[in-house]
Amino acid sequence: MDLTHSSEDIDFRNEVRAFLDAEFPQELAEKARTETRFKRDDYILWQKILAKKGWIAPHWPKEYGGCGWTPVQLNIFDEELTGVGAPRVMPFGIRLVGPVIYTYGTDAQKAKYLPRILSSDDFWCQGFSEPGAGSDLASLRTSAVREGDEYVVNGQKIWTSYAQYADLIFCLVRTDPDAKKQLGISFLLIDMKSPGVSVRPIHTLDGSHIVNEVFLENVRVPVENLVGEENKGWDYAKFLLSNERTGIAGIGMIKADLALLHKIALTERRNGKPLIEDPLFQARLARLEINRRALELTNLRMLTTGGDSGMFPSILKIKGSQLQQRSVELQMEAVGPYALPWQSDAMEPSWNGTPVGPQHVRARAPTYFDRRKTTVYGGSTEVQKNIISKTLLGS
Amino acid sequence: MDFSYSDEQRMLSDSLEKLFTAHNTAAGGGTAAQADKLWQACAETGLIGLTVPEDHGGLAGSSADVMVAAIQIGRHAVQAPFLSTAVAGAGALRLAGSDAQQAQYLPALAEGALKVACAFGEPDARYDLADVDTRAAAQGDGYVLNGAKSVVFGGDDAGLLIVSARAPDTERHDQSGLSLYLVDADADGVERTAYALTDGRGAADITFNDVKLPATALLGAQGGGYDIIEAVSDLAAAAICAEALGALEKVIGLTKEYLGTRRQFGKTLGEFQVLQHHLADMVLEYEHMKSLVYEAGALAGSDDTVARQQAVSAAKVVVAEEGRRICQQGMQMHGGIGLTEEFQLGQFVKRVAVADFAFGDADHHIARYGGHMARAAAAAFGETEGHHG
Repeated sequence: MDLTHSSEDIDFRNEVRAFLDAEFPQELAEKARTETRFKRDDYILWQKILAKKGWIAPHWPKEYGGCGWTPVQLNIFDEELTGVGAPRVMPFGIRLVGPVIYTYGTDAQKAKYLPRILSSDDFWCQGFSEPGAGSDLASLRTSAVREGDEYVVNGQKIWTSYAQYADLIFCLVRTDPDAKKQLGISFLLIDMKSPGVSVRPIHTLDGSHIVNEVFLENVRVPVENLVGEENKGWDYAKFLLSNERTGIAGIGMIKADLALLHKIALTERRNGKPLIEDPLFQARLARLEINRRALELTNLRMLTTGGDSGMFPSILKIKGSQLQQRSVELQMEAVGPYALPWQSDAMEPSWNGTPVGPQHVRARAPTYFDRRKTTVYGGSTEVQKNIISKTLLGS
Repeated sequence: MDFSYSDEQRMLSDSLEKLFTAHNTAAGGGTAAQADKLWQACAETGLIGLTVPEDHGGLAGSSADVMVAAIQIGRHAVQAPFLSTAVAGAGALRLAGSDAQQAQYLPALAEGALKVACAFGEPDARYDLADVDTRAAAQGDGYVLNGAKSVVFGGDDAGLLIVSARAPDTERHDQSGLSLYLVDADADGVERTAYALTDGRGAADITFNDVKLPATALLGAQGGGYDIIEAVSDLAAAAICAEALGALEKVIGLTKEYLGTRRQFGKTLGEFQVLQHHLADMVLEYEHMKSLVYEAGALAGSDDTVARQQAVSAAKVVVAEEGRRICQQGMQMHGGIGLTEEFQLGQFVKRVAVADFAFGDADHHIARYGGHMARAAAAAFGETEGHHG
């Protein structure tokens, strides 16, 4: 038992920091500092810098462009990037569909898609959820009917993040309407510019536009865009979702949130003293910090012991999402009455109005509402608890 | 970064598992003769001298080794005074004892011949270890001791007491006025009221009326007691967290088993989703607690006081708060049987209830953790506008 980082890991952290000092663009740092929302070009700019360094998909196998880092190093990398406020690397290509393609795709698919995922020349989005298929994903109804060398796709996807930016969407579609729920599903790659694809924005409570509805009307998709075997899509989806969950504790984000929270709690005052010295607030903050500490150690414990149980990703997802919410809740509590003015528009890069209150207050209420999604997406807390109890009880 | 047991730790854990199973410790403390037999067996495995230097007959184990042992002690609800003698008592003697004092007491301690208890807490002090009203006045070559100590773990049958007391001319909260004294528990003027704690372990309230001490009774430097007291209390807190972790493993295991077997409304309890989710919550908190308890075990003996205090306080808060909740859920899901003396669940939830309030409760440790947190934040971001109050 040795809970200290090895000297290799400390060297690695320093290497990442040196890279960030040199390469993280000033304009993005300024946006992060002012809590201005990142847009498509910001994500692409940063991802191309990472790609040039060879660090865009470090967790991939080396043969496909990965870095061969240990799980602990991947964790350090995530922490350091989030710590400087870098735009998060869009997960849809790198984290989600990429591994599916290099694991189950044809050589032609690998050659066509993987380089453009790594270079960020293709922006991907994820077509899984449907109006009638949320947590019960396998009840999805979007159909794909084979006609010659094409599938004809009809249906609707929802909660599709960044569909408005996307060049491609990977979809779960039903190819066998008569098969039992999970057995008639296939995994299809669809060009967003295909005739019959349309995108309608969904505006969320935080005042931002990230998610969308995607309508698919008689969309003709070449058969070569099928990944793996027809009707085996559920297996690939499970594989993809397991990748999604392992990165989802969000330690880096929570640490960045807490750093901001400390700054706010040193600035805001109660009874003439910094809020962080107020016993009531300090106790709430200390509980959150202790939880962060527990999550971070548990994440490292899982990474270094190889996650000896199928329930660990769920355990991390539940706790991580709760703390991602709690940290911004406390940020909002910390600004008190300045949590009241609604300044979501002030977070847009195009905004040029006059802000209310100090810099650190305007994002508080919108961020609070934005974060409510973390316990809903990627398998809701309740679905994760089903997974944990199934592992425990074998039911 | 490695969270797994070393080979030696694995062997220690396995040998204790065998020992405690053979002595059927989970059935309760047993008779005095049985308790003595177990204590001797513990001494023979090296458990009591676990942290005692090899020169004095011990294994020179680390605080992480203590954690490994304490988890087994919790899993088997062992009532022997491991915590008071082998962790706190040995810790104080090791940290503050002169060569002569160590040579005098530690071999006997490691052999199981001498039980030791640290008497730090006082009736009006809650968990503030500097709030000491017991006085040790110089008299001749030695001292005379007056005062009262409360809820002394293992104080019921310890032969040697390690007592915190202050110089008569110092203020009641003054840390620098504190020293530690070795007191023979049978000395004239020492009065003990012995009792059992919630989990069956022995403790005592102890008064000292003009107890005469020789010069050699002073443990550590005059006025240098506080740092030792805090260090020893952290060793004990980390160990009792590990005990609670072991007990909670049993609480969860028993609950899981019960959900799988007990049938109502024509199906097992485990088929009800509301109960499945309660169990998932218990395990979720347990796994996070386990990481903190491991860290506290690793750092409880650290020279880095801030790191030590943060790790121990974090574990202690979560053991107190989440440990209590896990036990409540365990009792609730067992229904009536979970509330009986007869069923073994009670042994373990009572164990956790003791950990809840020993060596600092959740409020105490939240405040200590919060203090470090606020100082670190101020250091990282600089004082903002300073204090204008």
